[in-house]
Amino acid sequence: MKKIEAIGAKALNAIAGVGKGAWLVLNGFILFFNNKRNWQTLIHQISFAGIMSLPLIAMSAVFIGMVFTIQSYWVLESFGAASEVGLVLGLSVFRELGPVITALLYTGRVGSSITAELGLMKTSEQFASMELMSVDPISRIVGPRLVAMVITLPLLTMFFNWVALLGSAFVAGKLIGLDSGTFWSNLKNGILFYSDVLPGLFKSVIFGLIIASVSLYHGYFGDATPSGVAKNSTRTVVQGSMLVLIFDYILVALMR
Amino acid sequence: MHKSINFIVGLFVVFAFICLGMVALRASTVEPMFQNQGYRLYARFDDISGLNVHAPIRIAGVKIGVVESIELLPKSYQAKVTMVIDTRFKNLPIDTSVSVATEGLLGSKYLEVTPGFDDGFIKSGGEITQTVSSISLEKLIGKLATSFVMEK
Repeated sequence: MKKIEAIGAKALNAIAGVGKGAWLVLNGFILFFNNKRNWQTLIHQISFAGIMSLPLIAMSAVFIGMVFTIQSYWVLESFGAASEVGLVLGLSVFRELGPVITALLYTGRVGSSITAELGLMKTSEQFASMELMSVDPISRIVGPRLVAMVITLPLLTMFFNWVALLGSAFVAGKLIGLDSGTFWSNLKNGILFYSDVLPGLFKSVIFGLIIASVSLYHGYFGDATPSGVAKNSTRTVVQGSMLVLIFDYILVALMR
Repeated sequence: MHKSINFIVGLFVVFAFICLGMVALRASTVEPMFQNQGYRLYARFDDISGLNVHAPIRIAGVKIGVVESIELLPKSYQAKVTMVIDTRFKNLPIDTSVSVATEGLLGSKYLEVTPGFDDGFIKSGGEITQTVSSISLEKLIGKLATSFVMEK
């Protein structure tokens, strides 16, 4: 009996958590525009979440493009379709790999650190002191981070797409020795900008919103103890990645 | 300090959009809006198996439009194909014919338009009456096989 009650309590907690998270995100968005100084904070957050992530994203993109090219080349070659390597890579990167892998890396790098940052602010009671000075922490702290995360993830995805393609072109053209003219023309003919590239970017906007909500929720509402902060950043990474993959399926199934 | 970070963030945003632009220009086709600047023609086929919506329409191998929709006519059980063709190619003669062709031996299907010689032109929204249905390789091989059997 106790166990069943515990399951019920967990379910209620989860639902309440979704509600609190939605309230936080909604307020963050609305209150962001209340304070003009938030724009400067936004710039700083974009610099932290976006520019500092560029090396990680670039390295991952190059190597994913390269590995994918070699793997698909080995398979396609046995059908005599080696010239289609570029098309296979382009379709999978623009539709799936670009948005999803960028989002997963982003959860690990940006989401976890924002949770930890907010958790430490809570530990040192910075939110309470801001409220004493009649500064709304949701407007000053949550808002800019939320907007910055939603903006930067699609930008990073655009970057990922192009860099992965360059890595693939390098392997296909220089290392395998395929004709690079065929590579690019197959890409250009086979991929449609509005139905292959843009849906991927739309997905990454949604992913940005998901990661931002999860990380800000765990930072703002989580336990403000040293072990609590550690647990919350782990939770951000685990739940953020899982939600990204689940919503990826839902979005793809809906958009078709 | 503020100014330099603003500049770098601006640079980052511009850079990301340059990446998107490169993808758009070099690695994908930005679909031209034939729907807006094109006109529509219809054609009825007995068999269009393998032809898809958005398949290209070509004259002499050059793309002039796309297949907008495919539906089955309820009375004659023929397939009615709606084509959207670029307005630059407005003057198709009345005896123009259209056939379902294949890219390569096993490639995807497209519509090949062969202009006729008549002096009159098909009006916008009109019908191309001369159609050649798709040739299915499987049926051809089947026919060939049965004909060999018959001869023996």
